[in-house]
Amino acid sequence: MVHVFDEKTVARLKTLRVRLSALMSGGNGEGMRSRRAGGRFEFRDHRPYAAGDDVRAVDWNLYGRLDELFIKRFEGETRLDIHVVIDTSASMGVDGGKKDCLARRLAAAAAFCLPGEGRTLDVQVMSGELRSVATVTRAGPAAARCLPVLEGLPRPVGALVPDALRPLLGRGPRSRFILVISDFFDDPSPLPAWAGQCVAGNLLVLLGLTSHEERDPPLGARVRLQDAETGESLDISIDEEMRERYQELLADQRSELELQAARHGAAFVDASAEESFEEVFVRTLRRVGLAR
Amino acid sequence: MKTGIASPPGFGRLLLVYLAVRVVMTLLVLLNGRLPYGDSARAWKVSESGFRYRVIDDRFLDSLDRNDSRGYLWIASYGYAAGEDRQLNTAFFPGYALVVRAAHDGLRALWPGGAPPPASREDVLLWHHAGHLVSVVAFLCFLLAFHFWCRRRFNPEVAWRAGLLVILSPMGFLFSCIMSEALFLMTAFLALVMAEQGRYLKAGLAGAAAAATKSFGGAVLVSLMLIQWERAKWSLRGWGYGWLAFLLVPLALLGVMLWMAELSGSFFHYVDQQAYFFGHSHFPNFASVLDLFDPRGKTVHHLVRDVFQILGLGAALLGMAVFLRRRPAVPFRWAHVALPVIVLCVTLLAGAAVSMARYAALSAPAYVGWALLLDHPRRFRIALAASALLQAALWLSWMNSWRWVV
Amino acid sequence: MTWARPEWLGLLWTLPVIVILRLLVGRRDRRIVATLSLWRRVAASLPLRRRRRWWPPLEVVGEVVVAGTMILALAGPVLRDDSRPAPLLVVVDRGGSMEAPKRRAEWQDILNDLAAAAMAEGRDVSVRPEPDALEPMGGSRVGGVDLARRLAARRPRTPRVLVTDRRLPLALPESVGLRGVRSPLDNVGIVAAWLDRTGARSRLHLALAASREGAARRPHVRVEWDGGARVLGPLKPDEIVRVFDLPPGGAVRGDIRLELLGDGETAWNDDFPADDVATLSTPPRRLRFLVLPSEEAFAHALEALGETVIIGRDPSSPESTFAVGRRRPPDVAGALLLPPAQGGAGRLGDVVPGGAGALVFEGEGLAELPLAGLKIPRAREVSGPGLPLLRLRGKTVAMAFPHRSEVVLGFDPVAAAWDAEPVFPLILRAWLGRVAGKRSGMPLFVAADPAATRAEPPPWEDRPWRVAAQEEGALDAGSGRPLDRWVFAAATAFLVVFGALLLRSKTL
Repeated sequence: MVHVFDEKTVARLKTLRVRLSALMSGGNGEGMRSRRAGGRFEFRDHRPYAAGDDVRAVDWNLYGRLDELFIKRFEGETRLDIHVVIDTSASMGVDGGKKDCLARRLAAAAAFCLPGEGRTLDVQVMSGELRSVATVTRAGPAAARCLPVLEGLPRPVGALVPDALRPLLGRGPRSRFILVISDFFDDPSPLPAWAGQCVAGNLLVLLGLTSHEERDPPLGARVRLQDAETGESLDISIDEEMRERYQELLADQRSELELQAARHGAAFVDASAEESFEEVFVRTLRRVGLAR
Repeated sequence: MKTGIASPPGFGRLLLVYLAVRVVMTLLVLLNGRLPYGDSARAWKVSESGFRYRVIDDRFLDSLDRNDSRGYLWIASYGYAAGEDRQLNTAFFPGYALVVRAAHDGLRALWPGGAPPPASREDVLLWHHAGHLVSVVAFLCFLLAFHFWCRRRFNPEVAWRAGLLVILSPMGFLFSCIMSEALFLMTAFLALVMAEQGRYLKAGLAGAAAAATKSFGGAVLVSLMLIQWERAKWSLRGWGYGWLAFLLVPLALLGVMLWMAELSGSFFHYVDQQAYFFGHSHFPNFASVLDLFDPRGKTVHHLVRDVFQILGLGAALLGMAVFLRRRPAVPFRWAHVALPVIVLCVTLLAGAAVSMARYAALSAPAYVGWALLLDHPRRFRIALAASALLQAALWLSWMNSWRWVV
Repeated sequence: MTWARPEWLGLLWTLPVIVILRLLVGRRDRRIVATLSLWRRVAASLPLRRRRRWWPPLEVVGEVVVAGTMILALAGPVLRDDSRPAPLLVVVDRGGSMEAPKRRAEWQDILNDLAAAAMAEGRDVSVRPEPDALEPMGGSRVGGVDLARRLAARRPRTPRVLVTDRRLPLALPESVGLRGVRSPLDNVGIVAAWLDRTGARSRLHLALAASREGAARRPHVRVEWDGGARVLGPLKPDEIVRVFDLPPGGAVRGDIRLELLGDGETAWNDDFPADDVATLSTPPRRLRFLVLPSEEAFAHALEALGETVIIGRDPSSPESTFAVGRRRPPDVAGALLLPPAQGGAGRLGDVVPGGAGALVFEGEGLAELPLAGLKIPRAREVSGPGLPLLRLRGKTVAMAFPHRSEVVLGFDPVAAAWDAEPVFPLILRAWLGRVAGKRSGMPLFVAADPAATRAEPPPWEDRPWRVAAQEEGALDAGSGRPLDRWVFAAATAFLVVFGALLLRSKTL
C-alpha cells in the first residue's frame, strides 16, 4: 500500500494552504471571508436562469459543458460546517487504490485549507454507513492531526449504500458545504437522489474520480472483468471498437451526472486519479467559485 | 475532416492501385526487351554436377527472379544442400523457402489437368509461380493489416496516403518478387499488431515466423517486449504471464540455428556464409559506415549504389522521426520503430553494401511518417509521382541486374 | 493410406503444442473493475455474433482444422490399395556408359524380364531413371544407390532393383537387388587433333584412344580429312599421338574423321561413335600451375571445390602468394590440389587411400618437382608443346586440353574406372571447366551422346510401365491414388472461410 502521507505530501499540503489563501481571499488572511458591498460573496448554489437575471451571475463554465444556463447564488454567510465524505466502497480500491489515495489526500487538503473562523471540517467515510473519522477546527499545522487517521483508514470494501448520506443533506443548525469524493460508478447512480435531497442552503459538490485504466482500458483478446463490489464477472474481448464504444458511454455517463447535479443546484467535478491532489482541489474550488 | 470533401478511398482502391502497378511493371518487362538470360534461355537445364539453377523462358516470371531468389528457390526445391558451388546456402533463412515449397505442392495438387510432369517446363515454372504467389499474398495481407491499423491509429486519410506510399515506394516492386521481404514484413507487422491487442500467442507465432524468415528477424522480440512494457505503463510489474509466448521468437531462431548446425557442423554457419558471400568482413564494421559517405576512389556504379543506400536510410529515418514526434503520441510507437532501427543498424554495421535500401523499405512506421509529413495534397502528389518514377527505374535496375540497389 | 511427402507430417506435432499453449497463455486476463454496468451496455450494443461466448473456442477449433488440413495436404496423402502386392521399383542408371548400344539393349532386356516376373505376381512396376548410379545430384535428390537404400530403409518389404553397369564397392541392403549390365565395350576415338606450324612446316598431331574390356586387341583405323587420309594400325593401347608432317602449303580442312577397320580377327566395335569426329584445334595455350603443399590449404580447397581457385606457395619459387578466394593472377590457369600425406608435409603426388587422387600438372617452373605414386590406370602417354601433362613414373600423359567449346580427354573413360575415387572426378570437372573457360560443369566425356544423361522416361512403348514421380514418397506409395488435390482444395476452402469469418468478427 502506498504511503499516502509521506513527508513530501505533507510539505505539499502546507504549500497548498499558502497558495490557496491567496487565491481565496485576495491575498489577505486565511480561509473564506465574506465581503460586502458589491464584492463577491461565498458561493452558495446554482439555480436555473430566468428572464431578467443578471447576466454577470451566469456560470458560463457550466453552460459550456451542459448547454444550459444557471445562475450562481452567493451569500455573505461565513459560519458553516464543512463535510468531506470519502467513498470507501470497494470500487474505490481498484487499479492499485489510486482513487482512494487521491480521495484521502483531497480530504487532507480540505482539512489543511478550509477550516477557520466559525468553520469546522468533518471528515467522514461512507460505504455501508456514514462515519465521522476526524474533525478539524483550525486550518494549518493543527490539521495535521487528522493525517494519521486518514492514513490508517482501512482499504475500501463493501458496497455503497446511498441512503447513508441522507442525514447530512438535510437541514441542520448551520449551512453545510458537503464535498463527496467518489467514483460515481454505481448503477443506478445515487447522485440524482443526493442532489435532490440536498436542501437549499447547503452546497453539495460531487467530485468524481476515474483512473486511467477506467478511462482508457487496455485492449485484451480474452478478458474476464470482475465487479469489485458485487463479485460478478463478465467475459469479454476488448478490441478497439469496443474500447471506443465504452469510452463513449463513459463520457455520456459523466455528462449526465453533471447535468443531474446542476439541475438540483449541486456541482459535479470530474477528475483523474492520476492528477495531483493540488490541481484537483484548486480546480474544484474554482469550479464552485470559491477560488479565483 | 472538412465537410463537402468525399471520404478518402479505402482498401479496395488500394488494391486497384496495386494491380495497376503490377500491370505497369509487366509492361516494363516487355519493353525492356531481351532479358540478360534471354539469349540462351532454356526451360530446364541439368548439368552433370547436379546444380540445377535453371534459366526459364518465361520473361515475366524470370524478371521476378534475381539475386537472392535463386538461393530461396534452391532451398525450396532441394533443401539446404550443396550445389555446384559446394556451399551450404545457409545465408538464407528457411521461412520463405518453406512457404514457397508448400505453395508449390499446393499448386501442383490443384493444377488443372493434373500435376505437370516432373522436370517439365511447367513444373519448373510452378516454382516461380509459387514464389510469386507467396510474396503477393503476404504483401496484400500486410497491406490490409497496415491499412486498418492506420485507420484506427490515425484517420482514413493518413491510411490512404500511407498505403499508396507503400505500394509506390522506390523499393515497392520488391514485395512482388521472389524474395522474402514481403513475408517478413507481414509476419513482423502482424506480430506487433497482435501484441498490441493482447493476443500473445498469435504475436509469438507471427514473431517466430519472422525470425525464421530473415536472419535479423529475432529483433522482433525487442519490439514485442517494448509493447508489453508500455502496456504495463513502463513498469516491470503487472505483466502477467501471457507475454511468455513471445519467447517463441528466440526459440524459432534457436531452432533454425540448430538445424543449420546439424547440416553444416557450425552453429553460426549462416554468419560465416554471409561474411563469405556478401562480403561482410567483420562486425561491427565502422569503417564501412564511414566509407559509405566517402566518394573518393569509387566508380560511378559504386557511387550510385551508395547514393541509393544513403537516400534509403535517410528516408526511413526521417519517416520514423516524424512518426515518433507525432502528437498525441502514437501508442506503442517505440516498439514499432525499434525493429526497423535495429535492422538498419545491423545492416549498416555489417557493411552490407546493396541491402540498405531494401531493408529501409521494411520500416512500416516510416511510411506512416511520410504520410503524416506529406499532408498537403500537391506535395503528396509530387512526392508520390517521384517515388513511382524511381520505382520504375529501380525495377529496370533489378531486371537487368545493374545492381544499383539490392 | 500413405504419404508422398511424409516429411511434412512432422508439423502435426505443433498443433497439440499450440493448443496447450493456447490453454496456458490464453487464459483470461482477469481485471477487477469498479462496475460492470458500462461494459454490459457495451456488450449489449454489439451485434450478436460478437457477443457469442462460444466464439473463442470455435476459433481455436477453426485454427486447428485449417492448419491440420493444410499439413495433411502438404504431406500428399495417397490412398493405397493394400489388397494388391507392393509394386516393384526399378532404379535404372542412365549414365553415359549405359547408353552404349550394347548395354542399352542389355538393360532393356533386364527390364523386360523384371517386368514380366513382376506382372506375373500381379505387381505394378515403377521405373525410376537416374542420370547416374552414384552421383549425388544435389539436395534431396540422390544418386541411384542412395535412393535405393533410402527407399529400402523406409519400406523394407517393397522389392527394389538397381540396374547399373557400375562395379559398386558399396554394399546394398538385402531388399535391394542388383542387376549388373556387363556387356563388354569397345571404343576407338579421336581424342584431339591439332596443328602445329613452325615456319613453313606443318605437323598434324592426332591423339587417339582405343580400349577394350577384356583381352587386348589392337584395332586398325583410318583417319581422313579434307586434304588427306591415313591408315593407322594396329593401335597399341599405350600409343596415343601420331604426328603427320603435311606437305608444304598443305592444309587441313574440315573435320578429322576416324573409321574403324575390321580385320576379321579382332572384331572391334566402336561403342561410342561420338568421338569418331574431331575438329581441328590450335595448340592450347601454355598453362601454368602452382603447387600447394600445405594441409590447411587442401582443406580450404576441398571446402570451396569447384568455385575457388587456390594459389599456393611454391617452395622452390621466389614468388609466394597465398589466398583462398575468387581472385587469382591472370596468368595462372587453374586449381591444383594435393592431398595431405599422413603426417608431415608429405611428398607431392602421394595418394591418400580412399581419398583424393593427386594431380600434378607440369608447366613452367615445375619441371624439377619429384613425382611418385600416381595411380591412373591405363592412361595414355602423349607429349606436345604446352600441354598440361600428367607425369606418371617418368612418362607424361596428356590429361586434357581445351578444344573450342569442349574439353577433350586424353584417356578412355571406359577403361579408366575412376568411379571408385569420389573426389577425383569433381576436381577434374571443376578444373576442366576452368581450363575450357566455362563456368558450369562439363560433360565428363565426349564419347557418349550427351542427350543420354537427361532423366527421361525409358522408351518402351509396348509395356505398361509407369515412370514414377520425382518425389520419393510417391515412389514409395506405389500405385496409390493421390488425394492431395482434394485435401488441398479442402484446406484452401477452410482457410478462405475461416479467414473471412475472422475478418468479419474482427477478432483477428
